[in-house]
Amino acid sequence: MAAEIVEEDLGTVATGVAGSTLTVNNVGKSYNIAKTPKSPPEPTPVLQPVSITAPPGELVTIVGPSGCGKSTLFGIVAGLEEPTQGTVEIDGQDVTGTTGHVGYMLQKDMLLPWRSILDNVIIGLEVRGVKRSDAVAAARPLLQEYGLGDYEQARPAQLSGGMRQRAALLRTLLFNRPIMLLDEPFGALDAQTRLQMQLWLLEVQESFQKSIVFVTHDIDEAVLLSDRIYVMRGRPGYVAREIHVDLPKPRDTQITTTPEFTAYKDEVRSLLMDKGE
Amino acid sequence: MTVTAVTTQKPETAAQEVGAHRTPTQVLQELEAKAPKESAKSRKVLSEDRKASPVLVNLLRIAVVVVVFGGWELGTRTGHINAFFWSSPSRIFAKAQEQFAAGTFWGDIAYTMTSSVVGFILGTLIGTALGLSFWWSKTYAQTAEPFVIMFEALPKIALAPLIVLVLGVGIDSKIALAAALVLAIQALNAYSGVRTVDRDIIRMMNSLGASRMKIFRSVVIPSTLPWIISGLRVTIGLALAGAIVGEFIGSSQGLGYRIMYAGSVYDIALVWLGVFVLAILSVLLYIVVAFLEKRLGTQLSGKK
Repeated sequence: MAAEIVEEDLGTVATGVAGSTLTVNNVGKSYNIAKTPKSPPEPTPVLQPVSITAPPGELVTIVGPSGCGKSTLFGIVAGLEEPTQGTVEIDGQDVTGTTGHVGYMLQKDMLLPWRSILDNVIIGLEVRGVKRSDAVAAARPLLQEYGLGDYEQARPAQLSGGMRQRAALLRTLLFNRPIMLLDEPFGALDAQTRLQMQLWLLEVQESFQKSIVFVTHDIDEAVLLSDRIYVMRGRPGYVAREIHVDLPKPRDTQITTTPEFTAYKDEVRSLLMDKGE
Repeated sequence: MTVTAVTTQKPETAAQEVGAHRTPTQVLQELEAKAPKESAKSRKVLSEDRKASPVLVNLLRIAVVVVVFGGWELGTRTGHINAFFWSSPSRIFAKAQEQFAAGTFWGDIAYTMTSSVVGFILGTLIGTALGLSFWWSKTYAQTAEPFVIMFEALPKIALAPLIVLVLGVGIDSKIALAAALVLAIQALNAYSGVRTVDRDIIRMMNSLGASRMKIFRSVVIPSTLPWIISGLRVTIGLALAGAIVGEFIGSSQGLGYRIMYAGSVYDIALVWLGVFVLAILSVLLYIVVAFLEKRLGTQLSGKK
């Protein structure tokens, strides 16, 4: 219901509301690192070539231990870093090394403390040059819909951690790109808030049909949210397996007790625990 | 060798035997028996955030003033304090009435206030701009850093004769001195602010495709401002000092000039009057700046 109204409002702001296909082709990265202070720097891979696909409207999760190059991969997809090899494509168009194509969100909310919540969530539109009145008109119903309506004039410091993350996600959403990258967005939240946020993300995903790439090291979170999971391993990291999660949607907490859910969890866990190359 | 080894082993084995028989509870009980009795006594903790009575504080403040000035006055009247060198509160008061009635004193106050406030504003603006400019290029920032630090460490007062010589005995040289004192500190403050800008926020802005200018305006400036604002309280005092020193070196107006002149003609009451007026002015400026700081601070941090 409300989502329809929201989509109408967004239509006046920008194109590309729904998802696009994100293709990561054989992207690898190495840094020049000196092994000892005296030796000359030599290329050290931090990410072995990986290929990932996020079709429209799918939530794709990358699961892996710290240091497997997840965040490097994200930096490359967001265009913040150049890969040593490989390309990033959106709907077949090469966007490697350029920014502004994807919404990007981290564990830290990165809300600007001197801006109100409203001004924070429209910052992406501001950067894109959307008129403030149009941006506000798009943001208001979203803030309203997702429980931040009464706080649009509040400063981030006055909000709880969960609310700040919600504002950060709305900022990413309002940047209005077909692809959203979420790098452990709920990692710093307490278990209860985290679950609420996960369910909320599923809801948001349902109404906006964005392509979402989600990084986490929480196996439960990965299985609950994903349409497909890429399990990463090793240092430098590589994709050990791609798992399609065929659990019915929409999902809620009840699904977590089903045998299918547990089976997926076991599969991911055994891949992560398995030390063999 | 063997004999000593045996003797040293003996107490150990004895201790082990005793230790083996003791349960952890017994260990604690024995420890408690050995502990000095006083430590077990509970005492009332003086609350850290217990408020001082405002009435008492104000009374004590008045008492300090009464004791100092009363003692001073009494000392000069009884001859314990040399009234020629130290003057006395009654003489200073009489001098104040005379000076304010004559009207020239107001001009001096206005002159000093103008040069310190203008110097303060100019120094803050230029210093902030300089510090912020370091964000744009690391090469430029690192080249400039030692020179800025050198200028900061240098007692700028030493430049006063030069500045007065170059800019003349008018108000310009006083403004320049006040500004120089403020500028160096605020430039370094702004540079510290620039260096502590949250890199992840910059990363986020980059991911949105923001230009360098946009990031500078929307992130770098607002996150550097608290550093500047926290410097204001210190620099307002420095601006006043700069203006006064400028007037000492060469001027025909201002409180600094008035104090210098009074000293040279042994009009100690006038020296004191100048000092007291300066004290009042500096407190007034401080209050204004502290108020501004609070307003701007809540604006930027978003904490109420």
